Amino acid sequence: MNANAAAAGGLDQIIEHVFVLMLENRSFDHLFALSGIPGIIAATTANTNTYSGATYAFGGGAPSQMPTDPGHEFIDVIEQLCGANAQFQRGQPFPPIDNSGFVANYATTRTEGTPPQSGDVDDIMRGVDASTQSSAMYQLATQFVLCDAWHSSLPGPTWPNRYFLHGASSAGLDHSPTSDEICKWEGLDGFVYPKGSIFDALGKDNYRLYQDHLGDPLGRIPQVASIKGISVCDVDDLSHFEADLAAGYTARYTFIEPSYGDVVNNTYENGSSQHPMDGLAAGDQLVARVYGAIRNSPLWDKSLFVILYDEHGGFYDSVMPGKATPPNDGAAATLNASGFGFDVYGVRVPAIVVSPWVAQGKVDHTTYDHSSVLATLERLFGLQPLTDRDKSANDVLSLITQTCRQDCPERIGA
Amino acid sequence: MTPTLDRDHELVPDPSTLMGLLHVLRKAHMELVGKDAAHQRFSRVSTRGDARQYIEEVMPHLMKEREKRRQRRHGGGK
Repeated sequence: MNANAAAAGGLDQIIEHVFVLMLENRSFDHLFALSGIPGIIAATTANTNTYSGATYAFGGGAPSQMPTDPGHEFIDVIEQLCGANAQFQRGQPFPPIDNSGFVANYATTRTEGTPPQSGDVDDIMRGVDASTQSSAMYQLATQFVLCDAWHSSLPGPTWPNRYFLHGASSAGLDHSPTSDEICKWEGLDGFVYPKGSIFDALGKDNYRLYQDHLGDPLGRIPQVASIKGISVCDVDDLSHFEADLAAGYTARYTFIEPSYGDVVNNTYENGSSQHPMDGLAAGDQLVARVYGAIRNSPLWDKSLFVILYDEHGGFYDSVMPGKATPPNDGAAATLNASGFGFDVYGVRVPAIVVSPWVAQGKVDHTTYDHSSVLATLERLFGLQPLTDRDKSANDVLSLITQTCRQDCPERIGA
Repeated sequence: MTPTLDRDHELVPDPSTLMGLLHVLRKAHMELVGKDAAHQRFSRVSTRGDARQYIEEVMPHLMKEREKRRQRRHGGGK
């Protein structure tokens, strides 16, 4: 069937393969506020934080590598969103949000190690020039659809947010898990979702997992393999990706992880996740490689590629997260250290939807979170929602047009 | 930046990305050598230097198994 004939059928005739690449720790404003892309809702110099008597405005000049890792545990994000010294009280409503505590938190938190030198605290309010510092991301944002209301699934760190992508829940986890907690779920052969994961729902033959094979070998351990039923040995090197796509690729869903760089020394250097302490370049090249592989494969005309960031990594964002639907999946309270009800989204993150079936240069203001990926897969491929979160989530299928574009660039990046 | 080896004596922070990913390796290692042997090896990881050694020791075995599974998935092709 040719591409435009497919448009006469259902959406599952148009999009047969969904690809997701999830990078690390950047807020929407940090990456795109200064991009000049028209129509985005973004921070300006009028957006400020006050700390220790000084006022810090949002602006440019973000360092290529952050001097320290900004905090982004639940307790950090509460302070970032709700103001200096704000705390979440178990059983109480989420404190009022005004996005006023990013600088205060960066200056003082020790959840990721030593705080920065006092002269560096405004780094957290700085954005990058995406067109030069992350040119592949910028090109995709201007060639396809840039979502400016995609939020991380909870106000917290990497692990629970990545779990939301895979299961519309974190089984109550609201923090980076401790060794004792992981040991308990390892007794169950891995992290278990009360209602299963998207991989369970799709079945083994319908998904593929890859991790970037470049960079520091110490960081080539895929987080997705913490989930029950998925092993490190099931995650292919991305070196095979292009050849796989060219050879009878049938997987409906493909999830790709970056490499995390030097995790042993907490520098994250020489990875491709765009971790704040590592910089943007290698992750941008990863984006370009994945795009190029899909774009130049036989699957391009049937593909939807979503690029996401797991959470904001502590960076300032000007948009206040709204109310979210709790998963309501019967998760035990054991992993829920704070008593958080999962009823508020996390900070806004960059998200780009790439397909020959989406409009060029559109900015989408629809509210999404990571469970929107699941909602998309489920509605596209006739699967039941896993939890109330993905059941109520917006999908990206409304971005699909009836025309297969012929003007999409074959290669991107510097 | 602190030179790599200067931090080898530091304990692996808990929780941390490193600790989480070490457990991911342990989970996969259990599939290869059984729970007891994997646990025994993992229990010797205390410092960042131990973690580096653990990753460098376990990962090649997992990569071999990964390739075997890949061959099986693709019917011996590619």
